[in-house]
Amino acid sequence: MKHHKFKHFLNIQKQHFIYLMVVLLPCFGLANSGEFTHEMYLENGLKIVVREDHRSPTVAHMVWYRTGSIDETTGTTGVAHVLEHMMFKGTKTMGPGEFSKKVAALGGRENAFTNNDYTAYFQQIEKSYLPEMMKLEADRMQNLVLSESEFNKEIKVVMEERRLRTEDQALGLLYEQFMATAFKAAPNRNPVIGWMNDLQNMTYLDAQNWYKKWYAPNNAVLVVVGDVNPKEVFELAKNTYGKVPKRNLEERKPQIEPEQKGIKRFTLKAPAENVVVMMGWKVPKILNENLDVVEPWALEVLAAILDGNQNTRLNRILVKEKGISTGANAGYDSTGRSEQLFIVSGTLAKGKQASEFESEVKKIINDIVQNGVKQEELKRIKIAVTASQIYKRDSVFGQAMEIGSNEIVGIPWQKIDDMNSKIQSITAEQVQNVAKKYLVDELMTIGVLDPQPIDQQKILANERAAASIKH
Amino acid sequence: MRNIKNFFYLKLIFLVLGFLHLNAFATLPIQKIQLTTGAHLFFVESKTIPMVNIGIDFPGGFAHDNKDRIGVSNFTSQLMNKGSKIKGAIKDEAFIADSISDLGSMISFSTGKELTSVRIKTLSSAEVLNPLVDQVSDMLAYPIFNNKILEREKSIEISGLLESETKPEYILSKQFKKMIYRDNPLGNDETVNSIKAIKIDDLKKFHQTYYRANKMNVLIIGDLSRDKAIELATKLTAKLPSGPEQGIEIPPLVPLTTQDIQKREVKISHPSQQAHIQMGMTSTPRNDPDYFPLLVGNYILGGGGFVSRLMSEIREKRGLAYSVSSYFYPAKNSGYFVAGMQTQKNQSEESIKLLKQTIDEFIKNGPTDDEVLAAKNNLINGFPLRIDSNSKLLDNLSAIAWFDLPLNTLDEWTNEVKKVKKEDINRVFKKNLDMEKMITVVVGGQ
Repeated sequence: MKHHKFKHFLNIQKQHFIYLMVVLLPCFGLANSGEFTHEMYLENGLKIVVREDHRSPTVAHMVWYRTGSIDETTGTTGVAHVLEHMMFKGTKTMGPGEFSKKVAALGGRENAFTNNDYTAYFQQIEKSYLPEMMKLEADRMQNLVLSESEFNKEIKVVMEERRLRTEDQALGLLYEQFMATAFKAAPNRNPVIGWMNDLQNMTYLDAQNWYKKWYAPNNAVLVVVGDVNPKEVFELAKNTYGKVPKRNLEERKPQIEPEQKGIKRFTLKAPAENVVVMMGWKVPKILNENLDVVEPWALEVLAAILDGNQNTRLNRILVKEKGISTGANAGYDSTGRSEQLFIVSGTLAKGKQASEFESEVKKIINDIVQNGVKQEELKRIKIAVTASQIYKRDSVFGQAMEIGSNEIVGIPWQKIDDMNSKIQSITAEQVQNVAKKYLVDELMTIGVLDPQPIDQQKILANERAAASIKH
Repeated sequence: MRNIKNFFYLKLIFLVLGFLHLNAFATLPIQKIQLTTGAHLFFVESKTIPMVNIGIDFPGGFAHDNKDRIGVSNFTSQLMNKGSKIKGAIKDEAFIADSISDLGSMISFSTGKELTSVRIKTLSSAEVLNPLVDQVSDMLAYPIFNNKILEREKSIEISGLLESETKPEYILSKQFKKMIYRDNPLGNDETVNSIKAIKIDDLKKFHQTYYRANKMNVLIIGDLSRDKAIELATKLTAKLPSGPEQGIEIPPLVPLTTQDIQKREVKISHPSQQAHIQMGMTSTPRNDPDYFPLLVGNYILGGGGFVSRLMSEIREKRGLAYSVSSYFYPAKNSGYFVAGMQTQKNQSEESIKLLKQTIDEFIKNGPTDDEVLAAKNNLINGFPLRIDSNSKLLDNLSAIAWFDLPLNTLDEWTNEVKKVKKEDINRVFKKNLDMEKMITVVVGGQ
């Protein structure tokens, strides 16, 4: 994000959670019904989705571009995120920072975020200023000015961001290494923020090329949620975004990961106190908008059965009963343009070994493979999902996130309700089947954070610094 | 991203927006009701979504802990959902977690400097709301503090604390708070030894002393009537302890005075790539008349996202940091000002100099007319975004209740901002901030 996190830390659980709840599930025909949600395509290919929510005189305005770190190539990793930063640096008619000044003066909140699959920009604002937001956002969709001098300052900011989130964060480093180890061909192997050396060698021309390649109305989705009249929004869109010309988009290569044929293991040394273990399996995801395939939904339910409330299996067994871990999590995302993993991770209690964690997690999985899951576990998850359909209506921004994050990976808003029904229909046997089929050693990557005492690190760092001066 | 587990026990909620009409809100009063149990109910009725948010706040934070047992407040609240006598029968942590999940509800307990807070999110139908409140009222009144669970939670906490102690941002904040609060209990921080010393009896005593109805603010917003809210809030606070134990009063925070620079600046070495920097000093509480001029002024100095002076000098012009900001932290009877950033370590001296220059210049000469106008525009136009979801409103209710602010605070908020003049900002910054008193902490610098 220009300002805050972007989602490349698995282990920042709370942030993760946050994201999750909002983006997620569906809504039993509550708000998704055609009565409140409307769509249209402009002639230039921009898709627009408008949801009316009249509880508050505010609006969330988001533009999602179907371009993220998985569209990058070796040598310029991180450029999608760098361009996101540069989008605030001025257009043919606006100076650097002027965009933010205008939004601020109108009382708006704004930001942007980059992920593997997409880059998105948003403002939350009192509804009468929506036309101004649409004008500004449409302007930078086609008129961005990428100056070398602004780039040279901003790339330093991005490198500081990388130091803050990755270089100085053991968990950030672990997750980065984990993805780079699990994937050999698929572009998920590169971090969203980019490798430091690629950032150091990036030029404004790389950012410019990126902008020219991907920033086009036919590669974007506009989402507006709030106290608006859809007809007025469509009309405004025609007069702003409608003037941006369509562009031919390059064909995207699938870049599918070849089949894994055996465990991958690695150790990462970094300054920290506790051992952290991360285990991940190659699993399927929803392909070609086909929601009728059972496995992704069964995997979602499996993740919740392992890690839902404080009494679900990982926490109960690893933390409470065996005292192996001080905290453990499971996670899986069934959608996305890029490859997906089913990940289980945990921090070890003092004196415990990574091998104990690994074998206990495998026992937990094996129990499900052998004996299945209980009806009450299944039911509990379904209740939580149902309740979340009500809770999510408290947030206009959350609704915009849900629509945008699905649309941008190819799942139209009309199908969001179906996604919830799919979860409701999952059986214990289906959960058992995916555990048996996919959570196996052949498809697993396991990484261990081997914590290094701070003082020793300091000595080594000083030594390296001294050595580099000599060269 | 899409992951069902997260619906269970969200502690943080990302509900930024979306609740009721601004105009409707202005006419929707916050109702304050004294309950027969001694607690105060702050209630806002909101019929738009069939859900209810409930909060309970009461003095019982780290500042209330004894110096050699810091953490008792925290473990007491953490064990509130890990064993309890419910309807007369002993129930364990598994039962509590699952029974609340089975209602589709969420509950969390947290402890801060001054307060312990309970937060509940639930559907508003009677079949859910009634059994939930029955159970929570028993949990609050009849916790079972199990020694095995306490020892487990202590070792988890110690493990997390030791991890934090390797992080520059934690070392920074700990040192900064130490210098701001000195021996005032507001600066109480858990240590491995203070955690190790904690015993079950400490928790029992803390519960008896601080979980008192007459000290509680119950905050309710959602789809229910005033009568129903009173019924629920009364139930939640009806069975709480009422023994002779007396809680401690937190003494006032002594303001920092002018000191030699050697005493005001601390540098701690660390192998991190970035230096982490904070500077600041003691300031005013939330209900101080300087609050609004300080709010508007700080928006200009370092609070206003991408458009503040600090952001412009440090990030936009020089690319020295990803994030740089300042804020006034308002507590009940005190407060402090802090500005902070992180930068590659060989840039730390340059950055400290710039931070100081920018703050000093702002204290000396204040903002320009244009800056004041832009700041007021942002705060006034952006006000609807502060109050437009149940969870945002709950936060506002909590602050109004705890800081003893007038019930029309939200109605008057934009007027208060409008009244602020450039001269007011000049005056309150000169009055409240002083570079000769400002402390600076750097971890991992040159």
